[in-house]
Amino acid sequence: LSTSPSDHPSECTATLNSILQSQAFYQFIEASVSNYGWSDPDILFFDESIEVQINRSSFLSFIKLDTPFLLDVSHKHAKTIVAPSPMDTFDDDLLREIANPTDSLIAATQFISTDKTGREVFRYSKNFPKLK
Amino acid sequence: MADRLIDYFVVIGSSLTNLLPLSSSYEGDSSTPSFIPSISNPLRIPYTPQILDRYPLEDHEDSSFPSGLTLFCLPEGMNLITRPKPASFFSFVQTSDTGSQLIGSCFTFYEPLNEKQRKCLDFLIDQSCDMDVSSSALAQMKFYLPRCLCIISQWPFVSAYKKFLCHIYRLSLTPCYIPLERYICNFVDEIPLPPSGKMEVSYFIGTETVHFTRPPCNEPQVWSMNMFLQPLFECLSFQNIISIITAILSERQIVFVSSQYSLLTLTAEAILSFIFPLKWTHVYIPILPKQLLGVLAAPLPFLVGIHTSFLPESDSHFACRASASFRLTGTRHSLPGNEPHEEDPLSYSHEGSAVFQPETMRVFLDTNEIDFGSVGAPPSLPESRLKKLLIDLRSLCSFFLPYWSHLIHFLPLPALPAFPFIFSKSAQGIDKRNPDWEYCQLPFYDSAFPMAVRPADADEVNVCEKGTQPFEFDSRGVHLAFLNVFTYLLQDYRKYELLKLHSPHLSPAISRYLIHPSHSDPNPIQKFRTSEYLHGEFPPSALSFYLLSRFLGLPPLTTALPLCLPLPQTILLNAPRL
Repeated sequence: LSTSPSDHPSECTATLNSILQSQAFYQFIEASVSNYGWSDPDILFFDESIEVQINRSSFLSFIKLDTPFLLDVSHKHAKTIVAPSPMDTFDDDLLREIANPTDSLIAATQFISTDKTGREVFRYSKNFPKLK
Repeated sequence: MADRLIDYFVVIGSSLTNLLPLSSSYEGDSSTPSFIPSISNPLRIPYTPQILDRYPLEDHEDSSFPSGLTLFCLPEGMNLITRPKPASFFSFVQTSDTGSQLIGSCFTFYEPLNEKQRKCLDFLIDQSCDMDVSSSALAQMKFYLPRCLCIISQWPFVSAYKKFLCHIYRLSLTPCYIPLERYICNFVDEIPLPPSGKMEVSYFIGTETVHFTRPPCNEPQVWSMNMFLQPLFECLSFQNIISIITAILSERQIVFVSSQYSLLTLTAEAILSFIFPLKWTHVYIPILPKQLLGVLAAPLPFLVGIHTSFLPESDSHFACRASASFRLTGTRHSLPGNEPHEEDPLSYSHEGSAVFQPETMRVFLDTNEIDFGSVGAPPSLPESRLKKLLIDLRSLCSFFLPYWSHLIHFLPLPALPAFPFIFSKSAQGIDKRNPDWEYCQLPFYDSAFPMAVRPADADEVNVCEKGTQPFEFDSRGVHLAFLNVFTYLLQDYRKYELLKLHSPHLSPAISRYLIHPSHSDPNPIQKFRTSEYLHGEFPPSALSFYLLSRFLGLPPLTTALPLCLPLPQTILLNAPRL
């Protein structure tokens, strides 16, 4: 049923053998056996890629295997966050702090605010030690 | 993995008040060296690099400060030079004891010795009994030492780190209202790590915007969008890339050799991303510092990269072309044919160069040559896959026209021979790289700032037109082309067999090759029936089962079948333990 081009078994054996004997393949099998619920995304990706390959090489084009994980578009990059620039939290207080550096680092406080264009911006206020 | 973008920002260089020869055990008052055990020529010995600054000052709980950082930032050691080199940039990978990888991005620039350092040097010269330069000449010479700015991170956003470090260096040369420390603090602490997919983080560096993105969850994380695959295809022919991959799959000892540090890491990372879903599990040091060359004697598989200057003299024919190009960026500006005007007193020596085991495979990136060592070429890919892969790669990488003459002429491919020992020699004219690449492109991989070939140099060679047309390199397409090889070879690895069709509980849960833990054997030693797979049907005919299971209305393969079906005890014996 498969339309993949035929290879002589002997041609594949050498490559396949070196792959199957390798430590890398051993770890791959360990991962795919222990992640039996397909919780490892890399293995799930590979398994569905095999299905895609079978779908492609099948001449029975009316039967296709599902690849829900690969087709999931909800993970696509849809949003951009602008990180704060050096100017954002830089003010006179901080300048004074630099002139008289304190040894202690104050824990970062993080808050999200919205900039002029309506984008979400991460903001921190934090002191930093003086470098040489 | 930690959820912070950058672990450490580090400055590495010589002590500002002293010059410490690397080999000496001298310790004492740092301002006035009183006794130095007999020192050979102080101009040619390496000095001790130190960590001058770091941010943050405390170690992170989950990622301690990397040891041996000075070795990796200055792989050749810290040596004096008489003419400053242009600033350079490269990245390296360090594997911690927990197995996690740290990516270091290192920006190196050269600074003249300050007064105290010069005094120390003069003192060392007075003590030395092995000087071959007259004292009057010495007094006029200016000496420079490297200093490195380094970003340590667990995430490979190397191009963004490069832009930031270049920007910091530029800022340090100009007066600025905001202190430099503020920029560093902002970059290290205040940029949130983007999640896998869904969101990207943008950040302004000078006039440029950089984007931090991670691949979505349903993409392999090693196919990072920030990875540069182009340099690999610029350096090596398709056939050589494929034979390196098969060598990696057979777990050989592989050494990459280049005159450009940045190429070593870029090519090794790119090659390793091509073997997905497998992972390289052995020693991996893309840039091997000179002091750690002993790794090459290890009787284990490894993948390391070394600089051409570490090659033993017997291999200098591989290095000579490369070192000619290296001079473009080095202290001597000369192209082949132009003799160097004067002999540099600080010239390289072959002391302590690399010693290779006979079976080590060496890849010369500068010359696109492979020496397979005493073991010979690794097994090649099945012919049909090889052809398909080459067709895919050719269609995806056609913009390497300036570099590869066989792509310019679109010569019909000759029948592929079994992999020859050194491919470029038997290549029948299909694998010739445009010689201009060696002079116009190769020497500049390491340079931190874009540089053009000087017109005087360019007269010697025909400058290749590069970057006239912006192109989008389809790295995902290239990754998919390589993935197809593995999906083909391992197509059947999860193949199931139908059992007990007559049973009221349909169960296709018996895997043919995988051995799952069962009640009788909760922890099988062997988890894959290798010999059965090897002697199974090839090409794989998994389709019949997949279709059969679909006709029978069974859930698709990728849902956890045995876990959701009520299974009778007899089948449970072979089925995975619940």
